[in-house]
Amino acid sequence: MLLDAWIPRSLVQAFNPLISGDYDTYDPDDIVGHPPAAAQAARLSGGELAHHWPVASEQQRELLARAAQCFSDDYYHRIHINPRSLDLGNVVSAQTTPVWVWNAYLIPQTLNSITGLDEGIEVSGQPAPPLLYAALQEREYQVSVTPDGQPVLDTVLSWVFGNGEQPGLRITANRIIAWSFAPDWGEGIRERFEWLTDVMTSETYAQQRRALRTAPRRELGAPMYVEGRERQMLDLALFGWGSRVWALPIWPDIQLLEQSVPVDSLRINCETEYLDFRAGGLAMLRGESAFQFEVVEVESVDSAGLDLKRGTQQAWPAGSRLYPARPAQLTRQPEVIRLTDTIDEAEVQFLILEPSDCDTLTDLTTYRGWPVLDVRPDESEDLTRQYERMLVTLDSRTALPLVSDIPGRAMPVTGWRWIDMGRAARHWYRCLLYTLRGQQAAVWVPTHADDLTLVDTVSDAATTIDVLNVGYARFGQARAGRRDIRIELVTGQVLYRRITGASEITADIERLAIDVALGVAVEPADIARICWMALSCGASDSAEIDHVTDSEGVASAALVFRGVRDDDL
Amino acid sequence: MPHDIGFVDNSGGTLSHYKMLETIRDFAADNGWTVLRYDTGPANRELILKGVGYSGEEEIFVGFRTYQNADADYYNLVAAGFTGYVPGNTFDTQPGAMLSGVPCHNQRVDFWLTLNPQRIALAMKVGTPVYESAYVGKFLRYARPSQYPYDLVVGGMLDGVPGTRFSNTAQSIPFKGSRPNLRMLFNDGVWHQPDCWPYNNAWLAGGTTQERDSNGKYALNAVVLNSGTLGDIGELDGVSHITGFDNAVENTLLIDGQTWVVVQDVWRTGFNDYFALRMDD
Repeated sequence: MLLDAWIPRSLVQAFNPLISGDYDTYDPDDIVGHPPAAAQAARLSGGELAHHWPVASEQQRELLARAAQCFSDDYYHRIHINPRSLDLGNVVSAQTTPVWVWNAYLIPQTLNSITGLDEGIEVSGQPAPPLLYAALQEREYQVSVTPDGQPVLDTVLSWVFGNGEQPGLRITANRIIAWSFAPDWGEGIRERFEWLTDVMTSETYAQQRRALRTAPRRELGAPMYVEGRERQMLDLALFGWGSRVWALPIWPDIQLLEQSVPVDSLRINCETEYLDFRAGGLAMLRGESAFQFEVVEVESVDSAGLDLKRGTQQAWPAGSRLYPARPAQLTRQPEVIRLTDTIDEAEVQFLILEPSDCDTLTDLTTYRGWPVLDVRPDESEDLTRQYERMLVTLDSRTALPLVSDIPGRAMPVTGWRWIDMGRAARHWYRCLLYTLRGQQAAVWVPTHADDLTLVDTVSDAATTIDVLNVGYARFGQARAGRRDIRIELVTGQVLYRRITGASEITADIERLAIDVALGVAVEPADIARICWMALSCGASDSAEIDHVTDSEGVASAALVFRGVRDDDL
Repeated sequence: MPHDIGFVDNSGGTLSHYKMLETIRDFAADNGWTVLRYDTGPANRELILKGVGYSGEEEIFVGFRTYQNADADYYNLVAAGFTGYVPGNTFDTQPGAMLSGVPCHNQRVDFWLTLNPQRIALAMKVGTPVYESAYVGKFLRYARPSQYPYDLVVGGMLDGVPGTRFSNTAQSIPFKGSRPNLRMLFNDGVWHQPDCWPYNNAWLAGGTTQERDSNGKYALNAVVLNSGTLGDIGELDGVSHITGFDNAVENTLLIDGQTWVVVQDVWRTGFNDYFALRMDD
């Protein structure tokens, strides 16, 4: 642009002898911009562009180049689907999950179809294909899986696009339906646990016992008694879905709702302590008949109730039945007894198809590193006791048989029964079963019988006790199974000691040496009971609980213990 | 999507930076952006635009305004991003406003203006010359739209809107390392100041080691926004690092049929003082 400017004179008005005097001969009027004082000094302001000389590089050239690949090449230019897989677990009611499909191309793509829509799978939320996805457009679908259809669902739902891409959503689910028939409590309900133990016994009775299952198999059996419309439904249910997985209510854990549960409720206030509810599990609400039920999925359990994954579909008044529920399958097809043309009876036995966790007993007193089962057995039925020996009989059938006792040991086999009321007691017994793990873990089992009788005062520092002569020095000999004693004083104090030796004092008195002094002076009158203790494990891998009434009432059970040599080794 | 290469000057009595604003308005309006406000009344002229993104369903609020001072001889633009638009509010008090000054000129300005449905990028040659750049709009985030819906970036030359002339030697392009003149709006509602790879990589763009062409062929590395707390977040759309090795400003490159222009960082001509700007088509 053309700038307005002037050149200031240096050394204003001064005479400079070095500048030629010839300048003085010029006519000032001929000099443009003269006199200098008349020139205007103005501020620069924007003016019209007169000239432009772009400062451009003469060296400009076109480079050879390529775009280095970066994460966007991995992330864009494809179709995204989220989530990629849906593991719905047990589907007992319609389950709807949002699924996002994103066209991560910078150009539009056409969705041609959605494939894999098996029976019981519905996709909604967007218009039906063919459907244009704008560049970078994301659409949200609702994928619903209903309980109707194949029992085991494992399918891929694919969104097929015009460019050949077909991102897929893998859906896996087990469809189950509620077993809403109520049991006949007349004969109680049997709950059975079955562990699996690999027991390797040497000829000296030394054992290695390995638990092969991390959780026991659990079965629930009960008689059913149905009539009228329920009978008709049971008949058809066994016909149609006899081999399928059912949502089985844990009948003994029944409770009646104290508060009503409105429809679409995400919370059920109820008792949960010692009941079989678990986060991620199921619960069943049931009305008066097998036709009024709802299975809900439990999100979390707290002491005051259940939070649900999805809202309830029906309103449930106070007084409705609430059960924990577990997926289960009939272990055998029940034989239905036709009592009349409208009444049927059937004995059903379910195997629960998920592991049932339970605590183990940690508050038992320990003796020599093993817990002691101090709880006295129920004696309402006669208990039995036996000694197991590893006898080998060589019988040529011509001469008399030769019987050899190879280990030379007897292992006490002790019956033990339990009966109690209430949820806490039932939970305690279940914990005992989980502590024993079938035949795997050993506990000290006292006989709880009057096995020895003290005859003389024992000082607090004495390491011998005098008892009535019962032949211990002859038969017992401080061997495994008959060398540990439980001394119960009338004060309630309990002492565990090991007999280390025995000698006959008189025909009536034996003197037993014990490993550690009692620590308290004990008179014969102070003794409530002295009994043997044998370190034992369960004699069987299966155990049952007989729920006579529901969990607030009575239950009973029986166990048999067999002695082991674990403390010997 | 289009681009525009040209110049504006002060012919007709309108200063060039006003004309630059008008050019952005005209070009954006012609190419799918909605002009929510173009106010030439005040000295600080204002332009607020709304884009719909590639999907056509988004709302991307960006804007430019001018600020100038004849006594201090600066005539600047402001690059801005917003989270919404309120007609009654001033430019600077729009929701979630993030502003960054871009020195411009009252004289002739050569410019490279390129846009697509989700962002507007600008490079200008002013004065001596020096090169001034801006980027407003979305980037290519590594997330689905429902995970990170509003991935807005505002990149100018200055931290805020200081009265800085184009001759200032401290100003720098927003993409170099981690600079307060590049801000990214994250899901937490905070304008973060992310790092920019590869400028923040001491091996690729360091003082002693740099990239160079490979047998005469140059590699364009996408500018990846990343952060120690947020991880790798995404890439700028159409802005790539290119080495200055045997390179010069305004060189061009042709990749997949699209032309890229090499732009320098103000007056700097070091190995890592260049970026390539895609001329969208």
